[in-house]
Amino acid sequence: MNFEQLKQKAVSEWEVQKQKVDMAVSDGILDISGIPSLEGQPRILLRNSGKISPDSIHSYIAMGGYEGLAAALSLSTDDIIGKIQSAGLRGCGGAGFPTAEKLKICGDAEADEKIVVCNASEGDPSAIKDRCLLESDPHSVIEGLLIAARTVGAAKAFICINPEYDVAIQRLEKAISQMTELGLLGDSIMESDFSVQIELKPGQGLFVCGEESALISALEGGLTRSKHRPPYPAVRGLNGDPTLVANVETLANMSAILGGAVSEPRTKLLTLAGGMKNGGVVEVPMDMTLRKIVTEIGGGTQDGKEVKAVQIGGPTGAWLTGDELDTSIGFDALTDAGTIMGSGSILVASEARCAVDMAKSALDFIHLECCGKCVFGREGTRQLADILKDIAKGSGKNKDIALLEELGGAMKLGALCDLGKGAPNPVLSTIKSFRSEYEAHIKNKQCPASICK
Amino acid sequence: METIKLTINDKEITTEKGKSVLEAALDGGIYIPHLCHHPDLEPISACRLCIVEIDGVEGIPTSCTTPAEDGMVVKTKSPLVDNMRRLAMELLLSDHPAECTGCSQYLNCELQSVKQYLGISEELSVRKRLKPIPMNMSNPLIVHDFTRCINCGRCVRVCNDLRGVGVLAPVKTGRDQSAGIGIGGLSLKDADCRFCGACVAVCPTGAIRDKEEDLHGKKGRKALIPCRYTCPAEIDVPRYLRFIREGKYAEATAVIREKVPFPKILGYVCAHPCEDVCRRGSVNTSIAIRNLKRFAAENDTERLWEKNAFQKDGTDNKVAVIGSGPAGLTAAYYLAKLGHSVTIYEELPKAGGMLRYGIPEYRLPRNVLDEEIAEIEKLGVEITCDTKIESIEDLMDEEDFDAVVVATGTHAGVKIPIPGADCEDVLIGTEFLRQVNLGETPKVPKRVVVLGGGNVAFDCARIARRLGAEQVLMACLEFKDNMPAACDEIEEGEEEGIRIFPGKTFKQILNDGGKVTGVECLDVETFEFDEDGRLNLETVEDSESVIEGDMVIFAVGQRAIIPEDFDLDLTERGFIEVDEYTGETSEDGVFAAGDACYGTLTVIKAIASGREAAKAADQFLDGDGNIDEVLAPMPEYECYLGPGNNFARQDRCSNTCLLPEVRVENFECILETLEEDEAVTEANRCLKCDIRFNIKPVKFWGDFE
Repeated sequence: MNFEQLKQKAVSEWEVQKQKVDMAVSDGILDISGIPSLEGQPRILLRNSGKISPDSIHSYIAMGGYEGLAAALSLSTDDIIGKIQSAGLRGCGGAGFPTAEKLKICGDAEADEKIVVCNASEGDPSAIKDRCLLESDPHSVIEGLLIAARTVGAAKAFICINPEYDVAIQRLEKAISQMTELGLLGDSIMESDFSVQIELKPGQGLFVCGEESALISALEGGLTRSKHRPPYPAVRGLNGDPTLVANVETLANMSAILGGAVSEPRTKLLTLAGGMKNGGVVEVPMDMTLRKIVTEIGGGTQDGKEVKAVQIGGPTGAWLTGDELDTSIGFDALTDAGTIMGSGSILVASEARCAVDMAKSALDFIHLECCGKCVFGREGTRQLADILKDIAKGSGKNKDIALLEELGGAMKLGALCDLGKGAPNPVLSTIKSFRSEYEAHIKNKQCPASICK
Repeated sequence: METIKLTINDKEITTEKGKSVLEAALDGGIYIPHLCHHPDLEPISACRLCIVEIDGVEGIPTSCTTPAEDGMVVKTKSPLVDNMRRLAMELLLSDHPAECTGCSQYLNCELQSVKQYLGISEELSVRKRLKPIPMNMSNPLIVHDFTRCINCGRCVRVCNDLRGVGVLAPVKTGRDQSAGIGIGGLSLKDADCRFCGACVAVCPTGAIRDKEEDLHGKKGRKALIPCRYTCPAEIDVPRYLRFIREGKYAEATAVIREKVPFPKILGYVCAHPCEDVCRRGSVNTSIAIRNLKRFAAENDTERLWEKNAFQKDGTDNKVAVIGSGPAGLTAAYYLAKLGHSVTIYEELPKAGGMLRYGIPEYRLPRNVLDEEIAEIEKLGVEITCDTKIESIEDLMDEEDFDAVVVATGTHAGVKIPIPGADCEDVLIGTEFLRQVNLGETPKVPKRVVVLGGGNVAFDCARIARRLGAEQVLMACLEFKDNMPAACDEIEEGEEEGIRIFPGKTFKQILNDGGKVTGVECLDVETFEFDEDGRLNLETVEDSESVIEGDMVIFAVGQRAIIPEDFDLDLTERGFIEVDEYTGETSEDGVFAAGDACYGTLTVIKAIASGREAAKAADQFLDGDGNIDEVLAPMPEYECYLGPGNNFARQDRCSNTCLLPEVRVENFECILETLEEDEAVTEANRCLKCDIRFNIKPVKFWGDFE
C-alpha cells in the first residue's frame, strides 16, 4: 500500500473503531485545564494525547500520523536534515546536541551497516516524560525512529526501554505488530526502497543508560559502562557500526517536524517531579522561565512556603535560586545558568529544606548509580557523598567546603562522561548559594533547617 | 605503515599512524603516568592519570584514548595537569590499604611506583577508608585480595577481551566496587576460570596474586612454568603440548628432541618430575605429560627433528665414552653432532645400561630401546660391547683418545649386613634384574620378600610375580606417603598383588639351617639421613614382627664401581668427584656423567648430565660447547582461550593398563599408548602457563630517563 491507500483505510477503520475504544491518556500527564498560563500554548508532542487510542495505529494515521515518514521517503537525506536543522531540533535526552548534526555525522560515516537506537531508558527515577509520551502516542516516537533510520541509511532499529515501563512496552509491542501488518515495517515500506526492522529491548533502566556509550555497551551484551568518546557512537557504535542514538522525545519531534506539525517557539516536555502542588508531565514552550513553570504550572511549593531553589535535569542538575529562576528552559539558557536540561525533571525545594541535605540526597543517588569506571566518577562521587554525610551529621571539618569545591571542579573537568561531569552540580550550586548553611553545619554543628541529624 | 611526527615536551617524536599519544610518548622515551593502560589491552581512560595538554584541544584529554596526529604539540606536564593527576591519584589511594610491606607486590607495585613519581604523601587530602573485602585464598593458584583493587579494569579486560574467558567483571559490594568473579559467590573453578594467570600478570597492585605456596620460592618462568624448569633437561613441555593440541606430532617430538635424544624411551619410563609440579595439579589433577610424550613420539611420522638438527663438520678429535646407559649415550650423541669421533665402550653384551639391564621389559619394550640407540649409531657413534675398560690412561695414550666421558652408572647393589644376609636365597636386586634382563629365568619360590621402597624394589617385586611367585611382600624404611618409588609403580604393584609393609627396619633374615624363612622387622618411629648419608633411626619398642618368605631380595641402594686404575678422585660415598656444572673430573680431559657422579637417580637426570658432560668435553676440545638447537617452529602463543566450559573439572586421562591378572603372566608392555582423541583432550587440559609470558611487561617510570 502506498501512503494514500494506507490513510484511506485508516480513516475508515478509525470511524468504526473510535466508538468502541478507550482514548487512554497516560496517567502521568498533568491535566492542564484551568492553568491559565498554558491556555492557547501550542502542543506538539502531546498533540494526540487523549485524541487517539495508543492501541490503534488507525487512529494515529487518521490524525495525520506517518505523514512525516511519507514525506521523508520522498525527500533526499540532505533535505530531511535541512528540515530538522531549520527547526532547530536539539537532543532531548539532555545534552541538547543539534540533532541535524548528529544525523549528518552518522549518515556520512562509511559503513556497510548502520543502526538507529531509541533511548527510552529514562534512568532518572524522577522523570516520566518519555514514559508518558510512549504511553500516549507510541507511533509518534516510532515514526521518528523510522525517519532517523531513513535519514542515516539504517536497516536495523532498536528501542531500548526501561524494563519497568510495562504499559509502554505493551503499547509499543502492539504498535510494532500493527505496523508490520500494514507494511510499515519490514521490506519496501510504503512501496519505497526503504526497509527497516525494529527490535524492542527492555534494558536495565539504569541511570547511566542516559549516557549513550553505556547504553550501547549494554546492548552489545557487555557491561553498562560509559566509554571514552570520541569515537562517538554516530561514527563507531553498536558492534563498531555507526549508531544514531536518539531520545524518545527527540524522535517524536522529528515526526512532528517532517509531518508539518511544528511551531515556533519549540516546546519541551518536562516532569514536575516534586515539591510543587501539581505534578506530572507537561509540555511548555522553551521560552518559559523556571519561575513561571514552578509557580504558575506547578502551583508553587507543596508546603506553601517560599521557593528556596529549583533543580532541573535530574540528580546531576544544579540547584538554582533567586534571579536564576528567571532562566528560561532553553538548552543554552540552562547551560549559561550552570545547569543542564538533563532528564527534564523539575524538583522544587521550599524554604523548609536544608541545602546540605539537598546536595547529599543527589550525591547518594549518583554514587550508587555511577558505573564505576573512571576514578572521578567512582571515587569522586564517593568522596562527595561521604563528606556531605559528615557535614550533615555534624562531623564536617573546616576545610571540607574547600575540598568539595576542589573535587567538584576536578570532576567537572576530568570525569570520563557527562554523568561524572554533572555529578558535582548539586554540591557546587548549593555551596554557591547557601554557603552559610554549610558553615553552620560545620562550625556550629547545627542544621539551620533542622533536617540533618 | 604511515609514520607521523608530533612534538611532545619540545621533543620531536616519530610514530606510526594509529598509535595513541600515550604510546607515542612511551615509545619515544617520554613517561606519562598511567595505571589502567596496558600495552596489550584496549584503552579505557579510567584512571585519568595520563591526561595531557594538546595545543588547540580543549581541556585535558587522556593520552591513552587520543590518537597521535601529525603536527600535534603535546605537553605532558602543567600546573593544571599535575594537580588533576594528584587528585586522581589521591582518589585511587583513598580506599587502598596504606600498609604495603604485607603485600607480595611490595617494591614491584605499579601503584606504589606511580605514587612515588607523583610525589604523593601518605597524608591524603581526601577521606581515607578501606574496602571491607576479605582476602580470598580458597581458589587454586590465585589469591584475590580485592581490598587492594584500584578498579583499573585490566584483569577484567584481559579475561574478557584478550582471553575470552569471561570470568572477571567489576563487582559492586554495597557502596564499594572492585574487580571480582562476575557471578557472585562462585569459586574460580565453578566460574569456569582457565587459570591462565593473565589477570595476575596485568594486575598493577597486589589485588590478584599468585599463591606463594605454588611458587616454591622461585621467580618468573622457573616459578610459573614449573614443568619445564623442574625437568633436569628443561624440555619445553607447554610448547610440545601445544603442538599435540594442534595435531602436529612431528613438531611436538622435535621440541622434545631439542633437549633429549630419547623421546620414546622417556615416554615410557621417565620419572616425570614435571607432573609432580604441574600447576594443573593444584586445580585438580596434573597433566599426563609422560603419556603425551610417548603419544607424540610414537606418532612422529615426518621426523622433522632430523631435518632441522645441527651437525657440525668433523674434527680430528676422538672421544671415548665408558658406559652406554642414558648418560653415556646422550654424551656420545651430542659429541658426535659436534663433529667428534665417538666410541662407546660397554661391559655388557648390549648397549643401554640400566635401561636394558635394570628396567624390566614390561615397562620399556626392547624394540623401543633398540630403535633409539640405533639413531645414535646412525650418527657414526661406535658402540663396542662386551668390553670392560680398566684404565683411562691406556685409552688416551694407547688408543689416542683426546677426551673421555665416564658414565658407568651404579650397578653394584648392596646388602645390609644383618644376620642371615649371607644365606643362599638372599639376593641383590640389581643382580637379580640383570640376570632376568640377560634372558635368564631364575627360579623363584612361592613366597618372595623384597626389601626396599624405590623403583628398583618394585621392579624386583613385579618381576618376581611374573616369574611365578605367588606371594610377594615388600618392606621398606619409608612410610607409605614418602616412599621413593613413583606413584604409578606403587599403584600398579599393589594391583598385581604385591603387599607393602612400610615403616620397617630389618633386624635379621630368619633361616632354618641356611634356608630362608622370613625377615624379622621392627617398626620405625622416625628416621633421617644426615649430611653424610648416614641413617639415624628410632624404632618402636617391642615392635618385632616377621614377614615370612622363602627368598629375600635386597633393593636398598646401589653403589658405583669405579676401577682403581681410572685414577679419579672419588667422593666419600664412592662416586666420581666432578665439577657440579661441567662434569669435569680430577683428571684433565676426563669427564663424568650420570649416576656414577651422584648416585642412583633418574633417566632424565642422567640425560641432562650427559648433555653437560658433552658440552664440557667439547669446550675442552676447543669447541664452543653449544648444543642448543631449535628443531620445531616457535609457536603462535594463543591469546584467545574462550569460555571455560567446565575446564577446571576435566579430569586427567586414565592410564590404559592391561588387567593385573593378564600383566603378571608375561613381560609384555603393560601400558598402552594414548589414542589420538585422548591425547588431544589431555593436552587441552594444560593451563598453558607459558602464554602468560607473552603479555607485554609494563614499563615503570624508572625505566625512562
